[in-house]
Amino acid sequence: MERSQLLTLVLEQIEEHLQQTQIGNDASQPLPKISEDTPLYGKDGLVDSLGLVSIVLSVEQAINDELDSEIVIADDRAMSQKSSPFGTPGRLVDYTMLLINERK
Amino acid sequence: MSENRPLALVTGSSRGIGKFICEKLIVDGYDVIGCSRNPSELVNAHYQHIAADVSDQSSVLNLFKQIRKEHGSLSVIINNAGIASMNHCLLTTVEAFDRVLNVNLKGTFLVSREGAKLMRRHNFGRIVNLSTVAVPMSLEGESAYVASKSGVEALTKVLARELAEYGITVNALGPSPIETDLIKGVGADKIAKIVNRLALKRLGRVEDVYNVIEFFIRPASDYITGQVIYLGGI
Ligand SMILES: NC(=O)c1ccc[n+]([C@@H]2O[C@H](COP(=O)([O-])OP(=O)(O)OC[C@H]3O[C@@H](n4cnc5c(N)ncnc54)[C@H](OP(=O)(O)O)[C@@H]3O)[C@@H](O)[C@H]2O)c1
Repeated sequence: MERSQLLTLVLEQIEEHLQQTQIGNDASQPLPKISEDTPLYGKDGLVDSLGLVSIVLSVEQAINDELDSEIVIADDRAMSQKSSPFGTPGRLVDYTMLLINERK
Repeated sequence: MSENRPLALVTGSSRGIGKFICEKLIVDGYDVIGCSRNPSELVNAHYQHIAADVSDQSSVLNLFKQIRKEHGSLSVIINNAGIASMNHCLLTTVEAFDRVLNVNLKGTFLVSREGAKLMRRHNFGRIVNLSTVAVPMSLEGESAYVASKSGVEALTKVLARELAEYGITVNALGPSPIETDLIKGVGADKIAKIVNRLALKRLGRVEDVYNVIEFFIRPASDYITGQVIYLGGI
C-alpha cells in the first residue's frame, strides 16, 4: 500500500467518524477541512480520546480487510512514543505505514 | 452456517461446559464458532471449529482474521476457556501461576478486545466471561486460579463501562463445582465442603450455566452490564 492511498483511507475514516458524531452535520455547517497536518488529538484536536479510539480502530480494520493482515495499531510502541503517533492524520499514516512495512 | 443467524464465539469448546454451551446456542438459533487448542467432536451444520490458543496473541489475531473474513460480524462471545491449578501457594510454581493467568485472564482480555472491535461495527454485542464461586469463597488451595478469576471479574466491570457506548454488554457468571475434566483432580471431600457452603447444596449442572448465559445474551438484557451472577447461592 502506498502512503498516498493510506492517507486517503485515514482521511476517509476521520470524515466518516465526524459525520457519524454529528460534528458539522448541520447542513449550514460544512465538515471542517481536514488535511495531513490538522490537529487530530491533543491540544486543539478534532476529537476526544473516545473519538480517537474509534478512528484508530476503523483505520486498523480497513487496512486489515484490504491487506488481509492483522496489524494492531495501538501497540506498546505507539503508546510510549514521546510525540503521539496519533497527533495528526499524517503522523497516524506514518506510524501505520511503519507497521505495514514491518510485517513484510 | 447461514447468513441470517447471529454469530457466537465460544472459547474452550472442545469439551466440558464449552461444548454444552455450543450445542445449546445452536438450538437457540445461533451459528457458533468454537475454539480450543484441540479439535472438537461436535459436528453440526451450524458449528465451525477453529483451533486457537487464547493465551497467545498471534493465535487470537489469526482466529479473528478468519472470523472477519468469513463472517464479518459477531454478536456473542462466551469466554469459557480456562484451566485450573490446585495447590497450596507454597507449592505453586511460577510456571503454573503464569499458565493459569495467561489462559484465564490474558485469554479473556485478548478475545474480548479483538471481539469488541468486530462487535462495534454493528453497535451490538454480548460478552459473557466465566468466573467461579471460588472467588467469593476465597477458596484455599487455588491461589492462582482465584487470582485469575478475580481479574476476570474486574475486567468484566471495566470493559462493561468502556464498551457500553458501542452497545456491548459485558457480564460474568461464576459456576459452583460442575463435573467436568477441570475438577477431576479435586478430592470428593473438598468438593463436598464447597457444596456445603452454598445455599443450594448440590453440584452445578451445565444447564444451570446456560440458563444464566441465555439471560445475559438476550437482546432484552441490554440494560444489564458489569454484573457477576454466581450459581448455588453464595
Ligand atoms: N467445572 C467446574 O466445576 C467449574 C466451576 C467454576 C468455573 N468453571 C469455569 O468454566 C470454564 C470451563 O470449564 P470446564 O469445567 O468446562 O473445563 P474443561 O472441561 O477442562 O474444559 C476447558 C476447555 O478450555 C479449553 N482450553 C484450555 N486452555 C485453552 C487455551 N489456552 N486456549 C483455548 N482453549 C483452551 C480446553 O480445550 P483444549 O485443551 O483443547 O485447549 C477445553 O475445551 C472455565 O473457565 C472454568 O474456570 C468451571
